[in-house]
Amino acid sequence: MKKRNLTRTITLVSAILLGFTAGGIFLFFSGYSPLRALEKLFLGIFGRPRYVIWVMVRAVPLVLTGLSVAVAYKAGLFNIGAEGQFIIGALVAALVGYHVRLPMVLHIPFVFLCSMIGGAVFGGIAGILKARYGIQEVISTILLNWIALYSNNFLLKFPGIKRPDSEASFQVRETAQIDLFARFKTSDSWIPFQMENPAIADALKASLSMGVFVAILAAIIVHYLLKRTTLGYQIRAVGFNENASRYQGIPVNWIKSGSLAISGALAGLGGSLHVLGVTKEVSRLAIMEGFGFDGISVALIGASNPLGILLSSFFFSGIRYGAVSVQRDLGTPTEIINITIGTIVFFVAIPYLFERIMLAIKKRKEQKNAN
Amino acid sequence: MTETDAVKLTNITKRFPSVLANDNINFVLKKGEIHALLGENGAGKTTLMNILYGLQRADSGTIEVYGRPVSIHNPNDALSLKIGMVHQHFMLFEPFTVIENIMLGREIHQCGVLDRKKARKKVVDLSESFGLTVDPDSYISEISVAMQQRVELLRILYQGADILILDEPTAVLSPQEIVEFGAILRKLVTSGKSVIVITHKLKEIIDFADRCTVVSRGKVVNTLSVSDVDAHALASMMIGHELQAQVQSHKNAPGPRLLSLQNIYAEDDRGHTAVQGVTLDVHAGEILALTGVDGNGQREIIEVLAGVRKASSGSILLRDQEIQNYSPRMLYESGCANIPEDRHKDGLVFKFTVAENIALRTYRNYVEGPFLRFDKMNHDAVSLIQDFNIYPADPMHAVGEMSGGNQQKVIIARELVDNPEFIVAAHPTRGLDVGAASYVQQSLVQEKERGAAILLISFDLDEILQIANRIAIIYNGKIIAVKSASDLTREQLGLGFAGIAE
Repeated sequence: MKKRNLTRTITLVSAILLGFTAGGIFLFFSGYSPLRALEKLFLGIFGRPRYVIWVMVRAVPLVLTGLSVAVAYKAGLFNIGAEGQFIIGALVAALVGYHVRLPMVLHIPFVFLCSMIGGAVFGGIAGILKARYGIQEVISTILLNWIALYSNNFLLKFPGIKRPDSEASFQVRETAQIDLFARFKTSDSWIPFQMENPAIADALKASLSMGVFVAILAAIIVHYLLKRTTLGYQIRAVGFNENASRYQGIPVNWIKSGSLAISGALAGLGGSLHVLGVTKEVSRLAIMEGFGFDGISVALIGASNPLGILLSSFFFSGIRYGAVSVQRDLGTPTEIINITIGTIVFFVAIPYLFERIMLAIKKRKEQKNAN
Repeated sequence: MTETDAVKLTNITKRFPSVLANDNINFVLKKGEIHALLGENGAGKTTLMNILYGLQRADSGTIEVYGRPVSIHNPNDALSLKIGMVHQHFMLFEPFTVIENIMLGREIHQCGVLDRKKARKKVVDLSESFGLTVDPDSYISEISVAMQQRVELLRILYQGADILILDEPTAVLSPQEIVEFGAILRKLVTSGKSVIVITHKLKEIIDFADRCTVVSRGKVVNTLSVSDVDAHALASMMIGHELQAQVQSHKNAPGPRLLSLQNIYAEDDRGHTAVQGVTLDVHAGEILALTGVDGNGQREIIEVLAGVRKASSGSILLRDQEIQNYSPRMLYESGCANIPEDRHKDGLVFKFTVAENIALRTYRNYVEGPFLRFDKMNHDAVSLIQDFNIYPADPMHAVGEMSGGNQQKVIIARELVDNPEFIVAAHPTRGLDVGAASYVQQSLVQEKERGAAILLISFDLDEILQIANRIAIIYNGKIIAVKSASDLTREQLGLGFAGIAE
């Protein structure tokens, strides 16, 4: 077991290094210095306290969609639909956040709950299609993504939902907003506080929200769900060996639909956190925003392990955010960062290749020793 | 060193991280002999042959082929020394024809265009001279396992092999096919080939091998002429101690009817009616063996009784209560146990621990709120591990890393722990070594004596005749005979397999 973890770590680190190398090569041939870009990237993430906070804030949706993909993956299913489930969760959050009036302590959890139900229903549809009719979840979730996107755009045409003179919904009420320190930052004590604690004040400039804590909590809950609960045991059994599970009387179809529903609920929660904490509204989408698709990469890099997903979302969000600094200071094209990320995912996805190479090296060594 | 030795392995040692697989092994294959390599699972026989075939490298020791010291780094080296190997799991391409599979990698061509005619002639010549009759133009997916094995043999002969290594060649064959297989081997050696057969089936060694090398725990116990020994002596050499007396099955008087299949019809995966009106009664305190050539509807019956396949008509009564089309869980709760035919596919979750696998059925006992008490699960597994002699004795060990025999014991432990009333045991000893197989048979007999009704599906005639009270022969989805085990001889069973019942 330990040895396998070691190989996995080596694989991951090599994949990341190769990704950066590929990005560096592109930079070099486009006439930029790769080393300076790397330095800017690092400073763009860790240069100031508020950068770090921003990276965390931006990692929140990725944690949730990553967990979403991971739960389905544990049951042997490939959820490409986190994107659509995220959109539904966001839409529900915007609607419930504006149209329902409740005190804050109730309003926020209520919005979360509604978004999760929305996402769960949406994921559950794919689950039932799979369980009852054997329709590939990969296909159905891709198609459901488009249904989510256009439902969002369609609903945003109606008065009462659409904010007049805009392409977006009404903003969620203050009782449903989850940013922290928002009021403090506009209060009178903010200016003296800034003078006295420049570092903390700098960190607080980023719009830190409860989302970060909810995301960490979600990762812990998913960890316990998979490791300690009955449902987690059933999900893993089905994921590892569907046939044996069916033979032993585990309700395979229910578990599959259920895990896609949980998967959807997590992505839906992600949408909710994004709306309540960052955007406060949903707008017409010309294209997919990609939170769900990034979730696939995050889950892959994080080896579908909740702790791994926390780290990989931070990593993912970090290079995205740091790239902005690189772009600003050196004028590099954004495509470079996408090439880097793409290369990393590519190499993580084919650990098989690495294992082969390592095996070959080991064999050659053995032969040398033998001769 | 004489020219009569085809292969001579001297002091071969191979160490794996946790085990010494081969410990100073000496092995000589004479030219023109059938040499059986006998040993329990994990004794090191496959490792030794993989070394000879270039799949693994020995840590030390020498290999001589026809008196010449050689070093074999990969199967291509082996092939150029005219050594060929047929693996236990065939490596054939199903969408290709027999000819295409045989010529693969050694294609005869002219300017890049395959010369099928020439290849075909060569294959037909080979198959005629060794009695390896196959239809060269059928697709692999259409021919039986026995035929596929012939294709594998033809392939290595086509590649020019003189020294043939066959890994568990009879594991997939029916009794009749095994006899034919023996004849083919004889033809091969009379034309100058030399054959090594890896096996743990004693009877076959006596039937067709010339000499036999017994390996136990990585060491050679003995190499001897088969004419000098009997099966019993071989068995005790193989497991390293005197074999316990044969599994005793008292032919006690069976109790009342417990399970009854009445006019059951069921379809196979392709929608053909594979089970055509099977009627069978199994009584408390008896083992009823259901036997026949593989693929005559046994699998579908097993699956219907496990609740994973729906019968299209008929009824199944357990204590006169209708249980047809119960879910697997309902069946388990009404006292049915099921030892599935395919451990890997249907029996176990390889990545789970021993405890988690044992709990696959009973995990509901460990539910506490939303949580599962894994500590209790492990605790309970410990005593089962002791009761059923499971090795390694660690509830947290991954089942996928255990030997076949111990994997089977995990299944047996899971299925028998609740004292089921009715047990379906499908090929429970297939692929197990003598020690583990007799343990499994012993457990079944104990269950029977406790009063359980057991339906044993098997085509191992020795096993059936040894532990079954009654035997039902299935042919083409129909039961063609049900007889008391003491009234049947091997010959009658063999005829029954061919669909002939008097």
